[in-house]
Amino acid sequence: MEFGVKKFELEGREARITEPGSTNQVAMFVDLDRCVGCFGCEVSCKLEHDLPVGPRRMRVMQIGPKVAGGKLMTLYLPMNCMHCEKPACVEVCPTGAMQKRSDGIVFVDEKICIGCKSCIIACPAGSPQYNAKTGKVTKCDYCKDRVDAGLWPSCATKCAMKALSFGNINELSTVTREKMARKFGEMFFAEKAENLIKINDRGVKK
Amino acid sequence: MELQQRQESMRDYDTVRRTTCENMCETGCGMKIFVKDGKIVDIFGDDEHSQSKGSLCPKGLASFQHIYNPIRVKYPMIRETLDDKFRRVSWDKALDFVAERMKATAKKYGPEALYIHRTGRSSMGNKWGGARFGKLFGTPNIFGQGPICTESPGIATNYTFGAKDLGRLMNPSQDWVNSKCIMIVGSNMAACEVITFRWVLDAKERGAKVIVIDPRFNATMAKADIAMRLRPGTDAALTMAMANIIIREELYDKKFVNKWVKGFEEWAEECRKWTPEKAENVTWVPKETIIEAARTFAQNTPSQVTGNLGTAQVYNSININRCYVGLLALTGSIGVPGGGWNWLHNCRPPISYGNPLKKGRTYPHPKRPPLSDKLVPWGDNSAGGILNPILTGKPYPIKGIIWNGNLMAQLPNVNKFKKAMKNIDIAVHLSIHPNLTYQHAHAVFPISCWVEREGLVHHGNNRLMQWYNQIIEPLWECRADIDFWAGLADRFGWEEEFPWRKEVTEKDGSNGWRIDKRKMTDWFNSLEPMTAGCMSDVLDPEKNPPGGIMWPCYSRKEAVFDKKHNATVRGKWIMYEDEPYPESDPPQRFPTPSGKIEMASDELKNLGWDSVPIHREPSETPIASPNLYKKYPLVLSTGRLVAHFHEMGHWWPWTSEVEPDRFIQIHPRVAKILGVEDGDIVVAENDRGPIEGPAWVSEMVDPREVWIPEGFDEVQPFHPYESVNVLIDDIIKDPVYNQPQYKCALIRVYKKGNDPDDAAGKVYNFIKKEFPEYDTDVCLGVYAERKLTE
Repeated sequence: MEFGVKKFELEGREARITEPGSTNQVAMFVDLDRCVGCFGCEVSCKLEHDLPVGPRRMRVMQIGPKVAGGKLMTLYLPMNCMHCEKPACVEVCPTGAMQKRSDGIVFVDEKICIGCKSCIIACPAGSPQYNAKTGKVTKCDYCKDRVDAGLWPSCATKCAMKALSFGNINELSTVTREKMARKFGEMFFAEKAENLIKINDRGVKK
Repeated sequence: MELQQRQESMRDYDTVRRTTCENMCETGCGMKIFVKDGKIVDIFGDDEHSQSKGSLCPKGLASFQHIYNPIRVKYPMIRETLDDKFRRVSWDKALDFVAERMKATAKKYGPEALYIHRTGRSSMGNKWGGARFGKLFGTPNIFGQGPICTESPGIATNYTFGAKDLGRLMNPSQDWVNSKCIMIVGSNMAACEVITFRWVLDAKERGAKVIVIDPRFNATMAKADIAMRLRPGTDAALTMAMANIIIREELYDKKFVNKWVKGFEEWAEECRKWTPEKAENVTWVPKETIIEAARTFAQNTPSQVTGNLGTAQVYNSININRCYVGLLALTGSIGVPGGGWNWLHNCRPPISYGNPLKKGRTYPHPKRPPLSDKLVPWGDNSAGGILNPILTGKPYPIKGIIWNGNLMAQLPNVNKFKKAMKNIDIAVHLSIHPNLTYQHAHAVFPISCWVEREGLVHHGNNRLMQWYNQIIEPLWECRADIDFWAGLADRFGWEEEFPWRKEVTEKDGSNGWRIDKRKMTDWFNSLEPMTAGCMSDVLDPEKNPPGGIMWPCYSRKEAVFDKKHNATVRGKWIMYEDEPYPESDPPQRFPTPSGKIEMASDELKNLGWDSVPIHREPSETPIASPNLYKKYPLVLSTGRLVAHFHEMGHWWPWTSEVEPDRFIQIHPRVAKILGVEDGDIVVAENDRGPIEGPAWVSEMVDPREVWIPEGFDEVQPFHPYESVNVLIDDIIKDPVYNQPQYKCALIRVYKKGNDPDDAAGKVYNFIKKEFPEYDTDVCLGVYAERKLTE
């Protein structure tokens, strides 16, 4: 269940430890507590990249429900591309169409792609997709044109649940931290308020 | 460089327009539409919209494919009989054809033989126009979406809170973050009202507890702190068991209850009969969960309830909804931030069709009563009751139909309806797609979509009225539905009754007219005091702050932000605060006869219904129909998917791709008994017919239950399936408001090719062996054990 979260945390740590100079690494953050599997990201991706039925650069997977700790649980996981540190797709690409940018984005240059599909076979996460309309591979590139214009990718921009966020890998921990701080804050205030009520009403709540 | 979450298109555009998502659900999200040379090139959410804050759901996004969809209905077409082929004609010719046939029908069978049905997804112009035309025509059979959708919660709250018409909604979803406990019942809000559900998650992040009651472990339940998966239609038993605990443990707000609740003692007496053990037996919810939920709901105040169709489309709907009111009243969370009865959907103010404008003209009085047997003398008629008169001609025949949407697939008992349609002389369909209903029409008219016209977003959640703007010229020969009604009225000599015209130049260069939607909307809205301040220019998101106005809003002066509550939408922010209710006479907080929340209602008693809400077992259930249950041992419940709303979504490639199938969801243990693997084609059937589809083997459903989504029909282009409403009965209704029982039926499921009786027997024996016998000491509904071939 924590797969997405751990991955990003790990990448973040790695980025900070192994490449102290590299601060421009971008990543997408998925708040699994908020994703409800509405497919909005899938459709916004289709709209943004004018994709036909078939290739799904973003895909929402439902896992479960399964009984865990005596309760049913369901996980909704948006899966686009891991934008790996050492991407298998880049390594197997015979033409050099598949590339990794300095900010970490792995993308395919469709002008160079010959549609040989090697990357589709090589990718352990199922990210590259074949677009029969163009005869080329298409894959999540975090909407790099938008990123270059200073904008979030389309899916994160439009996410119905605000479950997706995007940014510098080191900034993303702020999202988690803020959420955690809010929770602590609520608990803190609730406790204080409870005490106040007890004092005022001498232990009688209502 | 800091990256920004900005609603900005990368496409080449010359204009950005601001509008509202009209009618894909009731949330009403703000939209930014990017246009190049008069053509829409991109769609984003409107970040200044208080409700949606820049987000859109898959339907809103995929509506891009709706606009320029090559398989939309483009031209008016007519045919003599349903066996003929359609031929393309002009709007004028098609209207002449319809008018002529309708005159002949009225002459032969009387004007009452015309049945007009305006669906919830159509524009406000269709609702006003259709009702006004029907009134002039003299038919009492003007039907609305209300009783087949989810209007009975509004009826129930009318008798408990006493609001005028359907006064059900109190606090807007933006206020839900102030709640400490949110109870969501009978609604997969995370799928059906995605954007609204975000406010639940926001509240949850701020520490609120979320309780979800539904027959299926759906996306909403996946986010719940306490999930209660109940047997469809047994909410009242569950609620009364919860109330029993709250009362027994004295967790309720005594001050509020003493001051503001009438009939508390009577209802408490009924609740005492529902011990957690008995409730577990009847509702399937474990007693420990019931106790935990009761304590959580009562102790985390302000708490609020929100919900939707699950509480409406069952036999005991009125009592179920009054029970939820009772639970809320026990917490005293009414008229305060974070509290309230905040039902979703169809929340519209009282609508008026207006009186005739021509001097001396009055509406003819229909000689025969409307085809309806509901107990409530007001509100819409339910289309559930129209089927038998069409089929049998009794008590009097229905020979003409004007409708829209895809009612053939949406109304109960589809196969019976198909048979009945052979008796119709003139069926008119106001079409968007060539769907099943289109296939059963004599005349079809192409209706424009929300970016091709302007108008009112009229029944949003939160008592919300908004405006959507025209972005592009209508495509092909599409026109708004109100232009159909006005054009038809002209052919009967009623031009003056649809006076809000403006001149236009048609595509062939000739002079024509269209209804001016602003003039029309302002005229109708000014008829109802509650909406008199909701004028089109005040609502227009390009002229005023986006987000609309929350009615009641009696004048332009009231269309302002409520500063006391830091409101982010103009109008009345919270209802039922400790102040006189608008227009109440005498002025009182709850405008009921007693001035209190009525858990005991003399008005309902006089209508022939229960004074105090109790559990009444729905018809066609294991308890109510033990003989039928042996043949059909599984309980069916139905609902909606996230990427579709009725026919919408099924005609667009992107949404069809993400949710393609009308699956039949069964539990893994039942699948094992049936020898079914995930994806196998199975048959679900009862006496009303069989339907086929792929099995989705999942623990989302209880082993005793099957869940099938609605909205499909067999002529849809990408994934044709018969509608699940083939399995739904048209006779079983809520007696008070005639909501058909879509949410509960008995069926059997078997692998295609296998023996149905054998499969049903195995499932029946499995349930008998694994689950306890039902406690039969419950009140039964009036349709129990009736013959289903009636």
